Amino acid sequence: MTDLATHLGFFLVVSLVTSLVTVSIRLRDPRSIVTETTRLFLQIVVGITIFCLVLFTVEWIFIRPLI
Amino acid sequence: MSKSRKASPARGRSAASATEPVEKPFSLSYQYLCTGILSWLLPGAGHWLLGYRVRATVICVSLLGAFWTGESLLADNLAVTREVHPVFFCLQAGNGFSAFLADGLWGDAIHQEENTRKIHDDLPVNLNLGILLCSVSGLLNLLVVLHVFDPRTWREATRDAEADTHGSVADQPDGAGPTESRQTEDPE
Repeated sequence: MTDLATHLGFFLVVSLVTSLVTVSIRLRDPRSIVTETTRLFLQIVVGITIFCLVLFTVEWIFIRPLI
Repeated sequence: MSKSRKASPARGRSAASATEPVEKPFSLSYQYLCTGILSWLLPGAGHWLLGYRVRATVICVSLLGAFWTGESLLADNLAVTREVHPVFFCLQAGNGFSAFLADGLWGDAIHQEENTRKIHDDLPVNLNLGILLCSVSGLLNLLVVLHVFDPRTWREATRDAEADTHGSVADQPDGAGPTESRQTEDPE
């Protein structure tokens, strides 16, 4: 496994654990726990991916020309 | 007939509150403190004692799984120790007994003088990921402990237990009773 793949895997694992535990604290019905966990997990993953893309773009525009 | 339909919500509430049992004010008890402390020592234990067994299992498996995966990533028995990573140890101490067990088992070995150079040469490749998993699981367990210490959780658990006793759902697992279908979210 490449280093990037390892980090991506851990990012997904940590996001899943965080969303699962956060939702399990709040909700009681197992079905709603699964639904809400999936929703929160996707929110976290998509949100952080967008944030990373923004950072990458900013870096590409401003930092790369300096190197 | 139309008069009874036009009853105001306030009157409806007062009628409902007249039939509901009066709740006792929350007070600190030995059981409350023990459950909170147990919840810290073993993730999910507090929810288990409160009767929420499915959630307790989910919390326990997720948090302990994350913690021990993080510990196992740190090769050669290199725990996130109190002396080497004091800040991260504080974060992972949220896992309670597991954190202190790992520190007790593997914490001392790496601090001996003869090992110091070897450790710096052979730092585990995934040290940062191991620390991340241990710290995140510790912080999440603190969230769980806060939920167990919340008096509203206890009121809700008491209400659920009473509903289970009166509603003949004692044999049904957590999440399958009428209280679950009535309300799936804690009133927080």
